[in-house]
Amino acid sequence: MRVLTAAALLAIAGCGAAPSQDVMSVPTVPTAAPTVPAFRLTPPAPIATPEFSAPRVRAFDLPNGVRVRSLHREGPLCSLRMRLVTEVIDKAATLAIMAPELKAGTKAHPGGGFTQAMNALGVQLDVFGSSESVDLLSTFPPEAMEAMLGLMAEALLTPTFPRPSFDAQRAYKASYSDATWKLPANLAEPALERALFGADHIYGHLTPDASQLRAVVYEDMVATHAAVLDPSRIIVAAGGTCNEVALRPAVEKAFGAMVRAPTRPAPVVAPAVPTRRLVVVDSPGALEVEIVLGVLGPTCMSTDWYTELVVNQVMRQRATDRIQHALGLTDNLWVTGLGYSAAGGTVIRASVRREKLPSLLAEVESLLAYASHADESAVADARSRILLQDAGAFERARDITAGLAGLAQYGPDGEGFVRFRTEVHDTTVARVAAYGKTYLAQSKPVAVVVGDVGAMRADLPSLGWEHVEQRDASGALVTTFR
Amino acid sequence: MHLRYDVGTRDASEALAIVTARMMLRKTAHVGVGEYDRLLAAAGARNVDWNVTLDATNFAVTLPTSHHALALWLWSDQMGFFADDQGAFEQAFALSAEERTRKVQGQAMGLGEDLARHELYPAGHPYRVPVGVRDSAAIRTAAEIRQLHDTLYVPSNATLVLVGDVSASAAVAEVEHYFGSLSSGQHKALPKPPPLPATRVRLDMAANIEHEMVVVQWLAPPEPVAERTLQTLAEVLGGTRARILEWELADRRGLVTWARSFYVPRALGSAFRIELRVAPGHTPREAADALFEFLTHASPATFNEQVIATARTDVARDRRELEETCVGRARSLAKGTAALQGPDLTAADLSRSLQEDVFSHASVTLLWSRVSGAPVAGEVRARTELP
Repeated sequence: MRVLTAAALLAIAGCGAAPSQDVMSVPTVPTAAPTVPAFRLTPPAPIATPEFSAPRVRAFDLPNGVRVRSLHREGPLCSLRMRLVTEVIDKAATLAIMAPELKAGTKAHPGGGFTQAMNALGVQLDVFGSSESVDLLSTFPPEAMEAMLGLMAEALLTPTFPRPSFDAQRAYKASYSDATWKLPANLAEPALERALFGADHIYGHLTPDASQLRAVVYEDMVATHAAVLDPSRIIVAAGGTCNEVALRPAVEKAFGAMVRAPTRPAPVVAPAVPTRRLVVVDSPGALEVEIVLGVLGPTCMSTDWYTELVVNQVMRQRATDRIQHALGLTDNLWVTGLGYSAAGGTVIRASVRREKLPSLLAEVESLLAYASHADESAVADARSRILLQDAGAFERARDITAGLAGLAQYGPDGEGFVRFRTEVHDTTVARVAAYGKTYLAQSKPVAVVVGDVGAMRADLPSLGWEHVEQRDASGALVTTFR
Repeated sequence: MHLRYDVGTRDASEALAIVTARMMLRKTAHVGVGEYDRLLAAAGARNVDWNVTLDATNFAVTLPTSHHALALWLWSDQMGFFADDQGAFEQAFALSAEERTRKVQGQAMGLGEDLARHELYPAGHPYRVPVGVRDSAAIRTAAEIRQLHDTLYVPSNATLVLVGDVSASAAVAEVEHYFGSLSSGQHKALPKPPPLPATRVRLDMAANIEHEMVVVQWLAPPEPVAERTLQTLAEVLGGTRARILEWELADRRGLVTWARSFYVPRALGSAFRIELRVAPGHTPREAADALFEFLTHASPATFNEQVIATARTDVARDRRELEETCVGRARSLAKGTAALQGPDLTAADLSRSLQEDVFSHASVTLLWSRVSGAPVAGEVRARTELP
């Protein structure tokens, strides 16, 4: 058997060995040994775990409020992320079109000049929006950092928004939405948003449909960009092999002249807790059903939110250990956090053959009950898994920048890596039980099932949900089953 | 950490290598049912992955350095202590068949790859296997799968890579500890496939899909022959930033809305694929005809130096991103990915490669039309052999 070993590309805290590689061959015997040695019988004990040393984050703010965070990790690439915190404004469709249009040309590099400037550097710029921010992200060889920072700042601050490009982008987004909306997974997400947050809450309509995209007006997009462009909303995160000394003057040059706006929009109020119900969305002919179950949790980065991380991990373990094997699922069951600033929570998602719907829905709901009553061993296991994974999670430069930007956006800043570990470490069974009582009670979950309603109609009354309703893709009520 | 066996679905009929790998993951002599996932997760594992391709079976994981022996223990048990109970086999078979249902029957145009393999590879060719395990596959017994395991999943067919905070000598000592007593087995040489045809086939397909599509797949030389050139050619024709096909067929002629190309390296003959999304108001046949006309007349003048430089940069960037993580670097080392270094490719190189390595070889063209009553995965409406 060939064995290849190579030095790490360096740990997050930074140790400086150059990568090396050795190729060897391990001799094996012509026929297997008849006896089984003792070491085969039990898993090997871990060797001593090195002390966690918090990564050194450099942080500074410009006088106008632009926040800059960097974390050095030796490797082949540097990553820069510029985050414009849009907050949640009722402009989901506008922002979805605005984000990619930021790189359609700038005042200094109009038209195709911006793309040519990036091509000259041999780099690529990705721009994408989420519910609360727009990110510009690029990963490139370290020597391109200063030039790329300048280009990214141009895209963020002085886009020209050429109208033909806007028209094409709007048509593309709407057409793509048209073409994909009826896929079960794409129907499930907005249906859960509406059911969980309510159609009147801003979180209830964050996913624009084709008609909303087509209705976006050019002038409104330009005005929206101007309205959200405030230095106190901008976060610059640098990760990987970046020149930290050159970072400050480059950021000052790009953003120093911006003037801070006097006011910021009011933060989003937490949504009301919904009533327990099951929403069915028809997907004629689908062989499988898509299930998404959600429960609301605490606001992001609160103490309860850290408990939520452990609770979700407990569920994840249970899901792997039990449901996947019991129901014969493979890689199609996920437990994730909700992650809105004003509402955390849990989302459990699975897809399965239609005939297994009753069993799967029951198992998914039982996960919530299980997490509420988790014992010391399950909680300790979850804590340990989170902390072990966290210690080495930042391998990619772009992942580092995502972590830095997230901490700067939601806080706690600066010592955030340390607080994360402390809070997770201090999560006890009692805290988990209290969390369960507050957030996971049986009356709380909302579930969406997307599938062939005609084929599963007979099963709906026996699913054990008091309130079952069918809605169409736009959220309009079709019928109630109870 | 990455363990690669040079054993893929090509090496067992009906893609049963997938069932073998699933059984290895489910239970081995000293690792109970479900313990593989549970132990790795408890150790803080990330990037836990496995797959079976035509050419290889791969297991991968990133572990804290303090727990790296766990993967050696698990993988050596898989290699040397296969558990062949019939229940495990039946569950692995059922899971594999269900996976095919989801990824083939339940997927838009899911039948495409099955059909392409059937058309491009003659009877008896190792690559003429279905994608995944079919429900209808002749059910084997666990004992037969054991035979497959004990013949193929042996040290002689394996490469193990460790990347991280390890010293080579300590790592090799540990590997010897866990794997040294296992039977080395017989190295399986690369199968010798029958001669490949040079046919060109067109399949008119009906599927309940939103976008009408054209998918053309050619045979190409086995890796690593022309690998760097074909990788760059794919990036030039329909890559991340350079997209000659899209500029020609979408921007200039309005026949398609999207065009991409892919090079799929394989040991016994690679594949080169072009996918077009047909613009509303046009037909897949029109788009395909325009594509072949463009490729027929492609010359060095088609590829200007700036586009080639852009594509080259993107290929290099993808490689750097792979090298950025321990698991990516381990995967690359295990596979022995061809070096990117070499003299700069010219327009003449790409033009020649397009004609000689791709266009002159056998191909299958799938014209996907939207038919609302047809299966999502698709069905063949007509088959035509082209001159």
